[in-house]
Amino acid sequence: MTVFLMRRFFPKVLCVAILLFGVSCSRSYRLEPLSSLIIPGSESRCAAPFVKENRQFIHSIEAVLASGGTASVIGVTNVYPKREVVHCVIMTVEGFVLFDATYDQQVHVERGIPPFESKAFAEGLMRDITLIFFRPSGELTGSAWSADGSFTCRYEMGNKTVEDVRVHPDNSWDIHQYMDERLVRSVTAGADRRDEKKNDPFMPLQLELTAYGEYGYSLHLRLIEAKRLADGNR
Amino acid sequence: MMRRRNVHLKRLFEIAVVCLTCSVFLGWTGDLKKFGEEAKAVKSLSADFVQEKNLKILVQPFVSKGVFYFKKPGSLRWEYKSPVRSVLLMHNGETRRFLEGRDGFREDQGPGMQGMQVVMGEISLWLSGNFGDNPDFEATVEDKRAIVLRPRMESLSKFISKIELLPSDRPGVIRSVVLYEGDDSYTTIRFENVRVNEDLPESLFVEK
Repeated sequence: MTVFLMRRFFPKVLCVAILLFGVSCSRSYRLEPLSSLIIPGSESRCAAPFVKENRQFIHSIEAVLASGGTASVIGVTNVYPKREVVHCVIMTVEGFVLFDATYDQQVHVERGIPPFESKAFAEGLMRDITLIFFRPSGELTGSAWSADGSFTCRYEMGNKTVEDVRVHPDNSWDIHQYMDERLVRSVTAGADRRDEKKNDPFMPLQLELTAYGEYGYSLHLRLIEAKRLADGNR
Repeated sequence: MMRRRNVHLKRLFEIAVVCLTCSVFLGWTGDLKKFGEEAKAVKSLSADFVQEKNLKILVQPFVSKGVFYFKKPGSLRWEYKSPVRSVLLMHNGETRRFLEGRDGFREDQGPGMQGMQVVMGEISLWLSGNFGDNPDFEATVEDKRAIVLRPRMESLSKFISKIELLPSDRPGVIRSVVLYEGDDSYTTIRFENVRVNEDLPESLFVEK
């Protein structure tokens, strides 16, 4: 997502960001081996972070670049997990709609105010949203307990993409997505929940998505509202 | 291309601020000229506001609340208290916006901020009450109920289709402003507890 924020909003810091990323790339973010055994109950344990019912989420989103540049928007996301459909609106704090698009196996952009008008931006955004909210579409190929009580499932997508979903005893969780055994995305959810949502592990108050790559970025999402959507909506 | 995009964003942001600022000044008599005369007596203004964003996607309107201060000739503080705290400051021709993030308030580097520098000129024009000279909007009175502003340029109408200013019965006070982006997207801002010509310290327009 912020690849585009960088390109459009912060062209002067782009070079600095790339340099900084070069430094960060020197760290090891390689795929670690995981037991190919599948522990009984793995699917249900690792499904906990993901949305099971139609939901609407409103987040404040803070985008932070490797260079330190930032931008803040409000995101409205309707997710329909059974059909894997997403409807997303991005607006300014003042309420102006910058972007409105739906993903239903294809991306349909209803409104895109520059610099949010490109299809590539929409596709990148939808990839980030589906990574956060939807269970990985690949095959479960391994699972394991860690010494600290965390449970990890590994899903392989068949296009050299691997996603590790790890659920911690305190309801926090994280997702690591690898391509060609190199880390490309991570999502980290804290353990904090709204008082009335203590038992909803997929509704964390804070989410952090980090993209690694030529134009690294991180998105910090703070939950403002979460509502159930009627089944008939989609 | 990039410059054109920046101009669009700049205009969008300007329009928001100008509408929000100037609409509170208007006293409704059904006469646009008289608005300008009444506005001249206003030296400062402050109010609470409730903003409701209506979108087809939303289960319920998205509600934001805040406070607003204005002091002639061109100092402005537009502050959201909830749910996302932010402060827009204009003073001495300089415009800055601060947003609260994980590490407290930080200056926003998002799109359109450079354009805020020229907002003050727009505000001055509107405060003069001379709607006819506004290069961006054509103002009409509809049903003696509302002032309706429609963009003169097609490029602007892609962002804002029209703006409705709904005055209250109290001179110098407007009840609400509605900004229409499209058929399914509009923002209503209701003003409450309006205070006119109070002494507002300069720090309000400088400190976040």
